Amino acid sequence: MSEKNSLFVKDDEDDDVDMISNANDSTTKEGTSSVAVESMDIDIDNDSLDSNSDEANFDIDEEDPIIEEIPLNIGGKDEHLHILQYIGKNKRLGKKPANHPFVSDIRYKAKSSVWELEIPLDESSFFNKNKDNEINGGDDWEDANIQYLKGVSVKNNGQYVAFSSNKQVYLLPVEKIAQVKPYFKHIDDLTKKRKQIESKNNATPASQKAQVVTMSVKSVSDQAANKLAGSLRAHKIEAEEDPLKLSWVENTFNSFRDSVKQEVSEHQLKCISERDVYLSKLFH
Amino acid sequence: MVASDSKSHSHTQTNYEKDQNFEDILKPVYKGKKLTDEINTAEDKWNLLPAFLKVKGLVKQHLDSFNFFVDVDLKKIIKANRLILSDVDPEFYLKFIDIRIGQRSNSSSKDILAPPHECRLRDMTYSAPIYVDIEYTRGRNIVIHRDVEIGKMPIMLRSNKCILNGCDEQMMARLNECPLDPGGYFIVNGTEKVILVQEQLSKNRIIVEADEKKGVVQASVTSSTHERKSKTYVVTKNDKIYLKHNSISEDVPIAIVLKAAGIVSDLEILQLVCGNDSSYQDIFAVNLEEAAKFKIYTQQQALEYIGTKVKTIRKQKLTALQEGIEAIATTVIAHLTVEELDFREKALYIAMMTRRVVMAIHNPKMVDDRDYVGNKRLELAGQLISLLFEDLFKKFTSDFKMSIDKVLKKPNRAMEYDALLSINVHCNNITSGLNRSISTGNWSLKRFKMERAGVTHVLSRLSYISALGMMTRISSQFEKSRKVSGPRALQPSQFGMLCTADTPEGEACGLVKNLALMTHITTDDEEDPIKKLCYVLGVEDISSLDSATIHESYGVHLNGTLVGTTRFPNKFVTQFRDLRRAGKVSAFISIYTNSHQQAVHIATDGGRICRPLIVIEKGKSLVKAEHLRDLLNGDLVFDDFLKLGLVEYLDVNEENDSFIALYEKDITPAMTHLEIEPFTVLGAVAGLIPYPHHNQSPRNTYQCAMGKQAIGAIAYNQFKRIDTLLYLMIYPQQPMVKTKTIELINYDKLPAGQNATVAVMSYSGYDIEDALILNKSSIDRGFGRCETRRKTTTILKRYPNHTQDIIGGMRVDENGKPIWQHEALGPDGLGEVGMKVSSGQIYINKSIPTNTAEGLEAINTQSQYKETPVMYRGPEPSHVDQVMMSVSDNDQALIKVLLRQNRRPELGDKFSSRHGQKGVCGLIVQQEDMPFNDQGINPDIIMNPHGFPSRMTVGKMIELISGKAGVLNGSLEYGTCFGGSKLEEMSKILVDKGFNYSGKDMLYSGITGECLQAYIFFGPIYYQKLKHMVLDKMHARARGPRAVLTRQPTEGRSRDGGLRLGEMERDCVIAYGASQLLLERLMISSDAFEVDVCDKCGLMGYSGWCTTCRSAENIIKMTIPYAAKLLFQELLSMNIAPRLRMENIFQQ
Repeated sequence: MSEKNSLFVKDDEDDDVDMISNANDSTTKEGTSSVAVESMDIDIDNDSLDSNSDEANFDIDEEDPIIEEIPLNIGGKDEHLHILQYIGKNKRLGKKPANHPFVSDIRYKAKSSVWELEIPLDESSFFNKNKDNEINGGDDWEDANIQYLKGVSVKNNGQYVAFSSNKQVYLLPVEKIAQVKPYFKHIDDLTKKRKQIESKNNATPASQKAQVVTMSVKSVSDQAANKLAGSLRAHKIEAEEDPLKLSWVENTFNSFRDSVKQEVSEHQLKCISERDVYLSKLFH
Repeated sequence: MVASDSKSHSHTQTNYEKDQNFEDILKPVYKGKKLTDEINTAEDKWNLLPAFLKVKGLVKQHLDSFNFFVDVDLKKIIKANRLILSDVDPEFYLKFIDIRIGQRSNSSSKDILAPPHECRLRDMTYSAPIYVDIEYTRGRNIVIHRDVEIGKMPIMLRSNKCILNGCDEQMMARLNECPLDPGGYFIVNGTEKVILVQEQLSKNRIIVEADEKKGVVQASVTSSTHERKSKTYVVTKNDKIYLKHNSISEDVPIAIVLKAAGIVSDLEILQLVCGNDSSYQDIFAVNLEEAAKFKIYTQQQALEYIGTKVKTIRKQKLTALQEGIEAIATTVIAHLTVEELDFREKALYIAMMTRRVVMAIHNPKMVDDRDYVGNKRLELAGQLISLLFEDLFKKFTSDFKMSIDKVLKKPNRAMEYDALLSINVHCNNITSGLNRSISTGNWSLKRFKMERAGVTHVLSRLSYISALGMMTRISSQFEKSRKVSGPRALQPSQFGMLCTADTPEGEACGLVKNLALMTHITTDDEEDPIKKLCYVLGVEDISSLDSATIHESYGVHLNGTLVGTTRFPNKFVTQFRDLRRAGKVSAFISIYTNSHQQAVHIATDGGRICRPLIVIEKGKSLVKAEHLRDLLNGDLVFDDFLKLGLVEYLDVNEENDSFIALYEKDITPAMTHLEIEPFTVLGAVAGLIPYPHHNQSPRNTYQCAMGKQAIGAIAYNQFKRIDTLLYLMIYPQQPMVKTKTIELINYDKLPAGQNATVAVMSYSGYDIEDALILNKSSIDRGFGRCETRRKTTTILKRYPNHTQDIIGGMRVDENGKPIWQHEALGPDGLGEVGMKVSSGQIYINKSIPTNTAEGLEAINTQSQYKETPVMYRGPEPSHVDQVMMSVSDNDQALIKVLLRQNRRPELGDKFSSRHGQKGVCGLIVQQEDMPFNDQGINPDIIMNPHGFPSRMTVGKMIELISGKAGVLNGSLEYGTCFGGSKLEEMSKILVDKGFNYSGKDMLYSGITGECLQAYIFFGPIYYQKLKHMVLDKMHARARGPRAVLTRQPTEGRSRDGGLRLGEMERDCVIAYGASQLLLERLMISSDAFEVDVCDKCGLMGYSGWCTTCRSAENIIKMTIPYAAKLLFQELLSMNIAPRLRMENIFQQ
């Protein structure tokens, strides 16, 4: 591993943040975009714990002189920022967009918040075409020329994406973070196929027998008992959910930045609590 | 300001003002020092201790835990099980909204309960109703019903639901309660029951152990949730790592488990488990091959693989994949149940376990110690009842649901169904379930399939100390019979947390422990706010962390679960501690760094032992003289010290992360904390010992066992109590040499012993083997005099045929005087108070009806009664002390008679000083024969000097000198551990008063009047009379009852049994060749039996007839032990014919 390791993926991947403008998803977030909040960094979300740390920092940083004041802007009314982390991606690819894998297809399951990415593999180097088609110890991977990435996104609270422009910092709340990992769909497909063949070949009399379906009042109550719970249910919902097909757009950062600036300038950030209330909160 | 604000707040919250108990201690006139005197921080910081006890009380751990249960936990249980739905009617629902104990929603005050003492006397349960608010559908309407009683909850005495809570001394007196009684126990069916503190290995934490012989390393975690309990292991087998779980039939290779949990790529597995460490990678790499061997490459394959190994029985059939998901999501590491799709938290947990195993393989020292106190959790009354209640409540709701379904199933009901009408049927289950478990001590929890016996004990009221000692006792889950030394050993980590001296001898040695004086046991705290706080303080969330870098920074573990990482652990920990000292975070949340594991651990869970320490900043104690002055003036209470951040609680783990100074003079700049008082390493019981730091350690342990057997005053209400057996000392005295602990626990108000003047010398030969010589006149003056009070309970039963037990009057002879047997009876057929009852006399003249069967004929026949009087048996007569007639819970008449016996010390009674020096009375000598000193003082006790050299109880000698100085000086001296009155000062007083500095006096023989050859060590020592008295043990018998089966004499004093000539005695008699004596002892005086033996067949016949041979021809009569005859017959019954072949020994 390289010495750059101490950097976190998130920092690495900030450039990969892409907005997925989702027209259907009308915002319910309070998201008031902002004008600068000066000197005291009171957050708009009146999280008492948050403020605690501020107070603690005051004590420590007493002798720290103020060098420069940078206005902060909070946006995030219209944007839905999802961060995709490429776990296991080669570090050396880094930020170079040229080396960045091209995403050919992207799907999102909104209900279970699952991302699926398709990346075509570079068949020109390090790609064993023979492995692709030949029967290799029974493993026939059909057309394994696409890398599938999949990840569940997790709600995020308290992290922001920032960029600076004209000596102003713009903060945008991150909605969800997903770690996308490769998964070998071709192997699973193969197993599935083999199983189907197997069950067809070894059809046992039990499975062949027609089942008598009885309908009675009692069976209604059975349904309640058969409900899946917890993770199983989540998996079932995920399996049954139709993914939303999205398109992968790159090089939109400039327009994104402009739109954020635009949005921020339109809204005035208002403080909903008063100074005294806030201070008294700190002490109790 | 912050301080004054919060103080006034806390004052309104609790009723300190009313509690007068501790006021005296808070304003001590110690060594002539008064309130106005100068404050010396180094000396006077001990005042924090009474302040602590004032807030916490002596049994606060029990009360806290119970209060937490009724106020917080109960509501959580209700919330988790709030809904009852019907299988039949989808419209129907019933929801529990709220739950309260002993208080209705509309009333501002608590319900009035039967006072605890009445419950004790009337054999009732001290309990309060459990009220719930219910929202449910009745027909088409939604109804809310408040204050529905669903049962009764036994109430812990002095908890916040108890009527004694906040009572002043007058009110306590009116309720017949002792103000010094610590509470913390329950009264169930009239008996006081304590739920002992249970010690367990901490739940939901990884414990790594290694068996070096087998070369096995395992990391295990016991997952415990409200729903289930299970244990997951990560073990090595043939140098490969597997996951083991009870419900998975085979050990699963760890790589497969990680793949199933979503860590699919080998690179990521290696990153998570080993990080960058190549030696770890070498150890672990082989496991990656293991997965490949099974041809498992994807998450789905791994899940299916695990799914096929799962061996759970379900109603509903699941596919292998689903089984696998279920296993990973819920079964394995059950305390991290995954509800959604994201397995990352769990995967990381398993990876962490694996990492710990790899670390232990690499470095065998990286294992955990099971016996380390920081790895233990204490389970208290509240938690145990909470487990029980949830079980009962679940049963209650399921029963309730069934009865609702039963009604709703019927399609046409005349009127709309009100579910609440049937709720009362099931209420009794909760009440009786709680009562039964507490009174039997059997804790059976269905959902954990757990059966635990011996959880509760009857509160020992032998002495105040024994009751107090019981409340601080901790019992371990280890088996007593196992011969292991580890769990029994004294752990360095128990310093200040568990008493170092107080443990029983014998099989439970080291397994039963006691809390130290200044400890607190935590209750559960919310995790979520702390997690949030961690993120605010810069901890990076694991859900967004990259696997490659996760081990490059410190992991932050919240209750054993990784929640994030921080790159600056020291800064994080300091900030967290600052917030805690500022009162922003609960004081009982601990945080510490473990540099070996590169982890910061935060614990919020309940059951950790912790103790307060003074905070040191920049090499200076934060507690200053002005704080102590405010404390003494009552301007500050202990909790204010906490709020001001002057004092903080540390648990064992955090204690190990701190640098603690013992005394103020030892402080160096690096130190973080200062002890409040070093004597708090001992517990309440060991705190009685004066100068324990001068004694050999086992002696202190012996005293801890004996202090609990000492007879004394047990409570202020002792004469109002009717207990099964009570020992009371008539003239108890507070010790001349006290300790601070004695004052703190009020032993000086309820003492158990007397200050005896002791001469250490030999007198006659009756003082060998630690026997004591007692002065007869001292006994006459009341030394060692005690009282026993024994209770007899009778219930007058009612029978189904309307008859009932009756109490008859007394029977009179021809002169109209009562017959001898009935002499003690009054006209009501009960013993009269004050009457003397001798052996054979009757004190309850009860009769029961002969016919109690229900039926027609029973009514017709005249009711006849059979006398079943309660007769007094005992070597000495007793007096009737109290007679009580009342009605118990189930409306049957209840009679309790208390018999009293006054006892003066006699030969063989057991005494002990406070230094583990016990002895029996060997001789009682007339005062005039006792030696005397210049002042004409006789000793009360003469003790043989041979008791000192081998026992090395130097503390006892210093006690004598301090006591003597105190007597001469007119002051009470202190023998506090690591402190107390200094020997030099005491010697100085002695010299000033004209005595020898060493405590030795010139004594004159009482018999000859000559002065003795040597100076005698002479002075007062506090002596305890122990409960073992000759009167209760003496036993002899000539003839008496025999056992039915063997016809041998019965065994034991209570059955008037014989005295056994045992195996070893028999050997002696054989060795002497005393054959006739042997015959007499073993057969003739025991179970001689004449049998008819047939000489021909060798079998036994009867009345001169052999049943086998069908003749009387060869019958020989002979005497054999009945047991032998029984054996022959038993052998016959199993088809073995023992034949006697007889020879005539007189032939020739």
